[in-house]
Amino acid sequence: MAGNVEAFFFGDPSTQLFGCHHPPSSGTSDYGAVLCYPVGQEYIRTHRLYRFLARRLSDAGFHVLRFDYFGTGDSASDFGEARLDHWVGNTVTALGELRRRFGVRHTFAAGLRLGATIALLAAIRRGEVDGLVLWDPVTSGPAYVNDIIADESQQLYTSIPKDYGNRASSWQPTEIVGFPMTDAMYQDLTTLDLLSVPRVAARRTLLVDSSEDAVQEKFRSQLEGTGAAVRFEHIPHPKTWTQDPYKTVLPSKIIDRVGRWAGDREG
Amino acid sequence: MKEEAIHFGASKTLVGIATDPSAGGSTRPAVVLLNSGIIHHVGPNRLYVTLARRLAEAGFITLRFDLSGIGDSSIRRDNVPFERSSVLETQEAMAYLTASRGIDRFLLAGICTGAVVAYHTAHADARVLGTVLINGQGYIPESEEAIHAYLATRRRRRYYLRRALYNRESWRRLAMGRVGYGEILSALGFRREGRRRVKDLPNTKAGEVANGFRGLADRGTEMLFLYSAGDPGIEELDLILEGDVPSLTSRKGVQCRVVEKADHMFTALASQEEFLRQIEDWLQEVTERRALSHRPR
Repeated sequence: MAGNVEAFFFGDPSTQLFGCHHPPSSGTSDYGAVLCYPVGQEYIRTHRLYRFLARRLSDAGFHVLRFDYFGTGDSASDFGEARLDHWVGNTVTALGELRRRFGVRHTFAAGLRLGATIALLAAIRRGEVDGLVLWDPVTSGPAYVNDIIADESQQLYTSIPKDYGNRASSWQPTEIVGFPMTDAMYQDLTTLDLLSVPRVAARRTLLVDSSEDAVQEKFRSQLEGTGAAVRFEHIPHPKTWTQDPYKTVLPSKIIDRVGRWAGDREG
Repeated sequence: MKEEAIHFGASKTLVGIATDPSAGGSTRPAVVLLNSGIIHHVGPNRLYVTLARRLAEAGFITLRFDLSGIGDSSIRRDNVPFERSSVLETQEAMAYLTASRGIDRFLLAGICTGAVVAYHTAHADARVLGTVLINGQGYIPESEEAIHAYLATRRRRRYYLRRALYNRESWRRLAMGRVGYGEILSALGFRREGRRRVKDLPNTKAGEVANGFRGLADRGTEMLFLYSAGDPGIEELDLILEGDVPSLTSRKGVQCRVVEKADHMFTALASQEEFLRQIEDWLQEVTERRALSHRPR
């Protein structure tokens, strides 16, 4: 039946990862895509979007594997135990699982927000990735941390101190919108800088920018400067990852554009 | 603790995670966690994962799953409305646990609409020994517009009282003319008007739900009404019970507990700890009470 998924755990049993496989809608395929979620509250808010994206890619002839990183979703351990490097490693594991379990030869990695960043870092680490979909990637860790702190400040019982914003304040978050923020994770995120990415990570890359004012232009130039084959799509849409799931309007136009780009085997 | 990804239901399209204690089987009733709105089976802030793992340490088997069309479960291909399908699918979850684990007694828990599904399933199925109804909203169908307009106004009042009036951004918005004084003042003054209007509301499902809760108490189904302090769901319960919540919560096996400094989804980490503690304590209490009452004499 169309839209059915197979759910399973994979990887080392002590650090098992939860995945959902969407088979290609018609026939067999040797193309596969790993979908990398954003994290924290953004993961909860975009889970439904990912299901629709997975289905669109399955219609485009892909085996799709949505999976939860270590310490997130249904995967092993707690969020407070996780590091950014775990998540990049988990994505490399998921790309391998896609090849091993479903026999695919051509792998894509796709993600939104920090998921896009993790997809790119995993592609650099693994190599052999044919396609990358970077949807509103987090390119600056400090800017991302400011974004999620702003989100936390909107909570009814916020952990943001009253003097936050004062230049003398050395406050560092210990929780962000429902999830812990450890010193280690804070360090990982605040030192993240995709604008220093040194080389091409995939044979072809789709960079999607849903902001009103095309904030990804600088990153586009950076990627093109490394010699990457980059397709840039600027399709403005409200920030799905900041909205409660039941209030979200799915970015159908972007999902369809990703599906068509990935399905075009010639790129 | 062991976790297993499962597919169940008539067409095996419902997806869930069964969490078992390390030692394997359990003689305790199994716990089933129900979707909060359209948030998938990890629960708001991943609370269902944490809860299931803690309950496994305490010896409970837990199943958290997605109703059809939510999270990882496929949509249904028939036209069964959600009010019925949600109960049928929760019963399928219980049937799975009976078939795979040999358990035929259940405790259901859910946040927001998950509480409503827990209530309806308990009402339909005597295998449910108890329910944790957390910030329940939606016991009264959306179609009953007069009730929901009334509740919305009370909720708006509560919003301004609890948050907006103490929030710098709200005052900024007010100064910029983006929030009306009239709206705030009417919200602030609504309680008196609201009390007067309860009796004037048309006869609705509220009475049926009140009788449903009483029927469960008569049957001996244990109920914990757990609310975040100030949650709008309290208004709905108050409305259902015609302003006399204690008439229900003073019954044997029925309790109402409140988590302070918690929003609807228990976002703050301190409130999550309190949420987990309250539920685990109550499930332990119910299980021990039931074990005692079933001990051979």
